[in-house]
Formats: sequence, structure tokens, C-alpha cells
Amino acid sequence: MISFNLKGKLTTAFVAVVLISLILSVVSSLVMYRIRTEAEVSSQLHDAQLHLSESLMDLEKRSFLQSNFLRQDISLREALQKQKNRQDLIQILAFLKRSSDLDVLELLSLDDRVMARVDKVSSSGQVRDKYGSFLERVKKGEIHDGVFFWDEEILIGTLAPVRSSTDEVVAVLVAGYTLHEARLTSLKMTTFDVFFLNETTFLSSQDLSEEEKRGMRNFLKNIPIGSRKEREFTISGAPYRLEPNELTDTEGVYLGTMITAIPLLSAQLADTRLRLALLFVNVFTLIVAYFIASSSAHHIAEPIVAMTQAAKRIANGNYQQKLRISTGDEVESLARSLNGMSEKLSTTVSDLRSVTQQQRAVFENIADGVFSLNKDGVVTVFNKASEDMTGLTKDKVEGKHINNFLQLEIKRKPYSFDTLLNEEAGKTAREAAIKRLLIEDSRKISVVMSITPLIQNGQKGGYVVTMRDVTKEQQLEEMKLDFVSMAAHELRTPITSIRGYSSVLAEELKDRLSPDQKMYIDRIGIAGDQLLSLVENLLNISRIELGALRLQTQPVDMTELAKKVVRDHVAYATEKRISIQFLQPEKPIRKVEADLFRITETLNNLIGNAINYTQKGGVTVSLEHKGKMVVTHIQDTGVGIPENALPKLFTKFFRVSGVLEQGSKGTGLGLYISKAIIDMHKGKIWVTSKLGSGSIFSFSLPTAKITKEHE
Amino acid sequence: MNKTILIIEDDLFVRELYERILEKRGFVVEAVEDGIQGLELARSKSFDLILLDIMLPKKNGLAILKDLREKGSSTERTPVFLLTNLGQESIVREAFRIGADGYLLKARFLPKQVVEEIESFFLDENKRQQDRVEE
Repeated sequence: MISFNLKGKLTTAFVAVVLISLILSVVSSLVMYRIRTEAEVSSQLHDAQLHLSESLMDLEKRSFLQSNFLRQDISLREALQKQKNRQDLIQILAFLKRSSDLDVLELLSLDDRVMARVDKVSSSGQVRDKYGSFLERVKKGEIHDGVFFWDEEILIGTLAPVRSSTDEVVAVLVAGYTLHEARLTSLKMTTFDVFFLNETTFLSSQDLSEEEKRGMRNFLKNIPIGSRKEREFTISGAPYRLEPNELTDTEGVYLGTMITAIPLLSAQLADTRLRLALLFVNVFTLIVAYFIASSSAHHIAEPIVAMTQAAKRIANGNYQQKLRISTGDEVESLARSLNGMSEKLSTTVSDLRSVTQQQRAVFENIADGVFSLNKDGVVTVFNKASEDMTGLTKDKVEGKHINNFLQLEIKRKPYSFDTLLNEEAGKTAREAAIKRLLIEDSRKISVVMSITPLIQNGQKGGYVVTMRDVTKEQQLEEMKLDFVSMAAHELRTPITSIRGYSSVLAEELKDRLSPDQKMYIDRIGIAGDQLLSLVENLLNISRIELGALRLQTQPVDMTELAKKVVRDHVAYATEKRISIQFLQPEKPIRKVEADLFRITETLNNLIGNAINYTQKGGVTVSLEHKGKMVVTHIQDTGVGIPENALPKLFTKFFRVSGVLEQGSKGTGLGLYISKAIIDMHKGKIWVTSKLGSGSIFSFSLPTAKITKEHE
Repeated sequence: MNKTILIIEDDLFVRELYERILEKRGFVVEAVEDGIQGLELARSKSFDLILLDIMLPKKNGLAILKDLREKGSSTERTPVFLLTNLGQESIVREAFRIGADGYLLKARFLPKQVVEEIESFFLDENKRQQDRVEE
């Protein structure tokens, strides 16, 4: 599981750095405090010296008085001898205090107990701590003057033995003056000592040997009065710096010198140690910080660098990136995401590729010419159909202006492409008019063009042009031709040559040909005729079925028409050695309302059929009135039609099978067409036949309305 | 004097078929294969009859007929037979509307019949001219 380890790592690193900074700052502040304290101490020392000098001014005089006094104090001695109780002792001390104006009077037993005490301030602390080694000497009988550091004050006083009547020391009396200023307590923080000395007196806060006292006096002697020269001095084997300070009374009379002894070693050592420690901490911090930083950098940056490189490779199209990062933190999860992304990207890109290829294929295979232009009319894409249509190649036109290759004509007048682009963009294909394209001034094609603006990312980026080649359609359109007419035309052209040349050949060689050769040529001619009638019939059928057959009726004289068609068939009938005749009606036949062309065709068809299916005998055409209709009969003496074939006779492609060899040349379309034509005339067509005894085909047409015009 | 005939027909076989058979009948025949040439020749020379196809390269027969029948032109009254394989009624009507003197379907008419049509046309024309003279 991926936890928030990166966060943890970062937090750890951050905390470490902060901790180290904290340590550094604490140490620094300690050092600074120490240094500050030293500075403060020295200033306090100065203050203390001043204070001392003031206090000592009259202290000097009185101190000795008091000590002398103490030595002679009988009352105290008596009191002790009489072993008075503590209250009595305190009364004595209070009396002494009052009479001597002393600040402190203390009576100590030999076992260091305070027997009695009068003091302006309360004092605590052990007796031994207060007076140290002086006490022992006093117990032996000496009198000792000194400076004593108490908890909150400095005592300048005398320690004197109290003797019994047997001159034994029974107690120690402490008498002295205190320096009351509370700030002096700060002096206790340092380990310096204070000495006061003059010609007669030597007061000391430390128990000095006689030699040391002499040395200190010598030091003082060597210093001219008023100068403040310092000197190094050894007390109990330790180096001190002595700072002399002359004390005078208010009248400027020299009282003595106060010497402060500041231990050298501790200060210096402390200073050096602190600097070293500081340096060490700094260096240590730096090293630790470096390791933390470099390790974090390694753990965090390394995979990120790897991922960056992978991302770069992905950007370069190498989507198969597998990162193996197992830092167990967000970086690993990021790497996994990157792997997933590259995988997805890979499939997406390949999908996209196949889609693009598919679209490209679709684009290339569109039957219509499609190409695109940029805003300036430069060709950007040109598809296969466009190439086929124009005969230009994609490589040739892409990247060049369309005007270089295609000129435009609308209604046979040159037209600018740019104008067209502006005009046509947005019109639908249906609206787009047919344009003629001149391809490099040589070929012309007619196209229907539709131009749509190419919108990319919401911006107009050019045009898409679709064109369909309508050259053929256009030509047909100009001729008002339909496809069937066109096909019929194309078929008739070679038929013309076949029929024409074979007839000319037969004509020109008619005296030089053997009967067989003549037959061959005739057969070419007949086949040509059949082909032609097939084409004609197919054309008619397609028109009939398309509903494109329109009758143009007019009053038609059937007598004249029948005569003419019969006449046209005489040659063919003669060729077949059968007779053909038109039976002149007994009374005039009224004109019919008919399409002359179509009825001629029908007659041609029926008479042609009659001759085709007749081997001997003949064909007779006759007319008669039946009600409001004129009926035409075409009677032959041919093979006849089997009864079962009669119902299907007028259907498409039906032919009576098993008839004569020459009979099979029909297309099976003639009767179907004839029926359609007669039906359109609102007439009827029918047949009566008996197998072996010929057939009679009959059709009726409505008579024309008699108008003057027609008469 | 022999009658002069211009044939405008793009199909080589068909063109030569009519050219030869008409020459054999004593006509003076010129034949061209496209509409533009035909129109130029018809304007530069005088013909007694023009046999005009419809489906022609460069310019189609109906357009040529229109140009030939332009008012005031030298060909305004030159007889023109459309000799074509286009049998569509609308085209036949259009041809006569523009001013065709005959409309022959090539495939349906054998060369012999075409010649007959032409000869009978000239005969009729002679008759008409004579009638006009007599008047």
C-alpha cells in the first residue's frame, strides 16, 4: 500500500533541519547569554566597586573600633560564662548593636550553631558556608577581618573569639556591616573574589596565605596611586586577573584599594570551549543537513528524474514506458500512473492511428472529388477521385495555389476561384451550379461543386471543395437525352454500318455472287435488321416501363397508313416468296385518333411477324368499322399459335417455341410493345388462331372526332 | 450540273458509306468529321444539301443547324437533312422546329433508301422551283 511516505520523508527532513536550527539557535543564544552575562557581570562589578567604596568610607573607621570593642566586651563574656539563655544573649547582642551601630551581630557556638543573632535582614544558609575556613582560625583564638558573601548580601565584618575566664574560646562573635543592595547578589554568579587593603588592613573574601597577601601588597605598592593597571596573579595556584580600585572618602582622602580578582582560566576556557562548540555544532549541522538533503534528493529526485526522462520519451512518441520505481510513496504511485498513462496513450494513439487510417481510406475512396484549400486558396489535401477527375496528381498540386492548375468557367465565362470561394462557401450542394473546370488549359470537365468553409477549433481555416464530374450528364443534358436514348444511339451506329455495307455489297455484287455467297450477305443484312429491331424494342420497352412514352395523337387515315406499310413489306414478302396485300375497304374508313409514329411501328411489327411466321400463302391486311372503333386485321396463312400459348402471347419475352427455323428471329418484345401502344390509345389488341391454319391479329383504335380542321 | 452534298458525320464507316454511294449516284460529295469543320465548310461553300449528324464532337448537330439557319446567313436556305441515330421524338421535333428539311434514322434506312429519299427530295424541289417559275 502506498502511504504518505513522501510527506513523511519531507516532514522528517524538515523537522530535522528545524531541530538542528533550533539546537544551533539555543546553543548560540546560550553562548550569547553567557557573553552577555560576562558583560553584565563586569558592569555589575563596577557598580559593586562604587557601592563598596561608598560603604567602606566610614566602615573603615568603625570596623576597627568595633573589633577593639568586641575584644574588650566583658558583658558578652560574662553572659556566656553565666550561660545565659538565648534570649539574654540576643538582648546583649541587640545592646551591642545599638551602641556600635553595627548591622549584624551573630554569636556562633564552637559546633557552628548560631547561638544568637541580631540582624537587619534575615539570613539563611549554613554557618560553615558563610565563613568557611576563617571560622576555624577564629576558634583557635585569632581575630579575623573579612568580606563574606552571603546569600543576598555582602558582609564586611570581624570574626572574633569569645573567651571564657580561663581564656578558652567558647564562642565566635561575628560583627559587621552589610552591603544591602540586592543587585550585589548577581556577583555571586561569578567566581570572583574581592580584597580590600590599606596600610593597616587586609580584608579578603578568600582565605589567602601570608605569601599571597604579601604578593598582593607588593602588587599594590608597585602601582602608582590613581593608575588602574591590571595584573595577573596566582591565588591558590589558579591565575586571576587583579583589578585595583582606589577608594576614597568624601573628602578625597585615600582609604584603601579594593581589588577584584577575576579567575582567568574559567573565562578564557569557557570562551574557547564555547567557540569550539559553536563551530562543532555548525559543522555538524551542515554535515547532517547535507546528508539529509542529499538523501532526500536521492530518494525524491532520482525517481522524478527517471519519470521526467520517461515523459520525454513518451513525448517523442515512444509510448512503451515501464518505470520500475518502488519507493513506496506518492512517487511510486505517480510512476504507476505514468506507466498506466503511457499504456493508455499507446492504445489511444494506435486507436487514433487506425481511425486516422480508416478516415484517410474513406476520404481517398470517396467517389466524389474532395480537396481542401486554405484561406489563401492553396491546396492542402487532394483525394484520389480528384486526381482521377482532373488527371492531376496529389504531389503536384498540394501546397500550391489552385489557380495554377484549375481555371474556372461559369456559363462559359472565366470566373475567379477566390470570388467563388467567397460566394459559394455555405451553399449546399444542391444550390451549387454546374461549373466548368479547365484543367491546365487543355481538358475541360463539367462539375457540380460545393464549397464549405473548413471550421477548425471554431476558426475558419479554409474551404472543403467537393466536386462531381457531370461532364457526361452535362452533354446529355445539353442534348436533352436520356440514358436509354444514348445507349440506343450508340448501338445504332455500328448497326448502320452492318446493314449499310451488307446491302451495298449485295447490290454491287449481285451478278457475280454464287447463290450461297448471296445468302451469306443476306444473312448479315437480316441479322443487322434483327439487331436493330431488338434495339428499337428495348428502347421502347424501357420508355414504356419508365412511363416516358408519350403519345402525340392526330387524326390518322388508317387506309393510307396500312397501304404504305404493306408496300414497305412487299420486298421482304417477295424474298420469302409469299404474297402480301391490302384489302381495299368497300366504304371509306374514318380517320382514327392515333400517334402516327407509334401506330406505324405497331403495324410494322404485326405485318413483320406475319411474314416471319408464314412459309407459304400470304398476308392480308384489312380494315373495318366496329362501333366507334376502327379495327385493323392482319391475317396470315402461317403456322398458327397453339391454344395454350395464346394467353401469354402479349407478355414480355414470350415466343412460341418449336416453330420454324426462321421463325425464331423475333425478340419476343414486339407484341408486348404493340399491346402497350394500343392500350395507350384506349384500343384493344387480340388474336384468333388455330395451330396449322394461320392467325389473325387485330387491333382497334378510336375514331377521331370530326372537326373542320381535320376534314 | 451535279448537285453538291456536304456530309457532317463523325463515324468513319458511316461517313464513307454515304460518301461513296452518293458519289456513285453522281453527286459531288464533301465529308467532314466534326461540327466546327462542317459549319466552316458550309459557310465557305454553297451546297445543295447538307447531311448532318447530331452527336458530333466539338459542336452538336442541333447547334450547327441553329447556326446554319441564322437570319441573313448564306446557309439560311440551304436544305439540311438530319442523318442520325437519335430517334427521340423530342429531338426530331426540335430539329424540324429549327428548320430541318428531313430527318433520317441511319440505322433504319438502308443506304439505298437514303439515296432514294435524297433523290426524291431533289425531284420535288425541282418541281417546286418549276412551279415557282411558272407562276
